[in-house]
Amino acid sequence: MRTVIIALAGLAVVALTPQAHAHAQLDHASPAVGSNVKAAPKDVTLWFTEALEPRFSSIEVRDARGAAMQNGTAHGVAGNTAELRVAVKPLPPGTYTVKWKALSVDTHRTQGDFTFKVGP
Amino acid sequence: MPVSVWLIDPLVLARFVHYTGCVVAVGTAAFAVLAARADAAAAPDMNRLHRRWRAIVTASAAVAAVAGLAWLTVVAAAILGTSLPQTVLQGGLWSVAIGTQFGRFATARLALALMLLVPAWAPWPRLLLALGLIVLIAPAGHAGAQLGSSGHVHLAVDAVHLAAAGAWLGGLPGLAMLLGAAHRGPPALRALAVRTTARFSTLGIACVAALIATGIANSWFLLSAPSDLVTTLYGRVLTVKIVGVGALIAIAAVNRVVLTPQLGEPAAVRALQRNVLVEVGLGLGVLFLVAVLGTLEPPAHHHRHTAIPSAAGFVRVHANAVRPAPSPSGAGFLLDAAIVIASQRT
Repeated sequence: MRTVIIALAGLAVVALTPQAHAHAQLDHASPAVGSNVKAAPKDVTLWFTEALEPRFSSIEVRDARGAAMQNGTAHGVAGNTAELRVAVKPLPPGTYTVKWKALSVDTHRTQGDFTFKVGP
Repeated sequence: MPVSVWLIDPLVLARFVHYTGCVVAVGTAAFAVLAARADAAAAPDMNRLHRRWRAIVTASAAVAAVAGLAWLTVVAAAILGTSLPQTVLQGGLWSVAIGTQFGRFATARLALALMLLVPAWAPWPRLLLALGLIVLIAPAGHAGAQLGSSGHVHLAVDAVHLAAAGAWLGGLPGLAMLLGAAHRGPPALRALAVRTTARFSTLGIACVAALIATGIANSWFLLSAPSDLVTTLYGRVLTVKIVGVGALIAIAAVNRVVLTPQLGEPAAVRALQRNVLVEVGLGLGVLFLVAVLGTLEPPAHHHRHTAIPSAAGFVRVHANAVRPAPSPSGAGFLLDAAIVIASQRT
C-alpha cells in the first residue's frame, strides 16, 4: 500500500525543472511608458521582471531626429537587481524613444522600446 | 515537439552531458559511502569495486568539466551574439565567465569538477565535493534570476531537488555493478550486496519524497496553471518527464517490495540488476528532458491580454496597484498599464 501511494505521488510530481528560464521583461519605467512629463527628467530608469546583468544591458534615449541623448552607459541601481538607469542630457521639449536591451541573470536577452514626451 | 532539433542543439547536448556527469559523480560517490563496510571474505571484490567507483567519479567529473565549459561557451556566444570560435578567441568567454552570475557559478562548478579529478580524496570529502558540484547548478537557472525572498526559496528548493536526483539516479550504476559482482561472487559478497541494497533503497525513498515535495514547489514557481501542462510546449515536455519519473518510481517500488526481500536468490539478484539498468536508461531520458526544459520558457511568465495584439510584447501589471506616472494628467498611468511595448525575445 505504501509503495502504491509512493508511486501515485510520484506521478503527481510536476516539475524537476530547476533550470527553466524566463526573460527579463520591462515592468515599468520612469518616465512612464507613453507618458507626457512637464519637466525634463535627469535620467531614465527601467524596472524589469527579473534580475539583470547591468554590464551586458544597455539603454539608448534618442530624440525625434535620432540623436543620442543618454549620458554615458546604463548602470545598475544599488538595492534592486532588476533596475537599470541611464543619465540623460538636458532634454528639450519633444518626443523621445527609449531603446533598451537587457540580459537577464538567467542569460536570456530581451529588448524593446517605447516613447515618452517632454513638454507642456 | 521539435525533438529532432533538440537532439542536435549544442545547448541541449552540453547541458545533458554536464547534468549526466554531475549526477553520476555525486551518485557514485554517495553509493561508495553506503557500501563502505565489508568483511574479510568480500574484501577483494569490494576493493576492486571501490577502485572502479573512484574511477567512475573521476571520469564523470571530467565529463562534467568539459561539458560545463562547452555549456558556458555556448551561453557566452548567445549573450554576445558571436560565433563559438569568436567567443573563445576574442575573450568573450572570459568576460562572461567573470562578468555574469551564470559565468561565475559555471567557473565554480568547473573548479569543483577539477578538484574531483584528484583520486586521493577520502569517500566523505569526495561526496561533499560532488554535492557542491551538483547543487551549484541551481543558481545557473531561473531561480538564480528570480527577485526577492521567493527567489531564495526557489534556489533552496532547486538545490534539494538536484541533490536528491543525483543521489538516487546517480547511485544506480554503482548498484548495478555491485549486483553484477554479487551474482558471480562469494556468499559474503552477496550478503553485503543485500545490506547495501537495503540501505540504498531507504536513501531512495527519502530522495523520492524530497523530489516530490520540491517538484511540486517548483511547479508553483514555474507554471501559471495546471492547464499549462497540455497547452504549452514547456508543459508538454514536462508531462513526458513526469511520466518518465513516474515509471522510475514504479520500477523502484517493484525493486523494493518484490525483489529486495528475495535477494538471497541469485535469480533475484539478476532480475534486480536488470531493473536497475532499465532505470539507468529511463534516468538518462529524464535528464535529457531536463536539459531541454532548461532552454524553454516556463509559462509562469507568459502574459495574456486579449485587448493587445498578439504580435506585441507586454507590460507586466502588478496585481495590487498600477503605479501612477509622474505626469499630473491621469492618462499617464492608464498608458503605463495598457501600452504595448514592442519587446522581442532573442
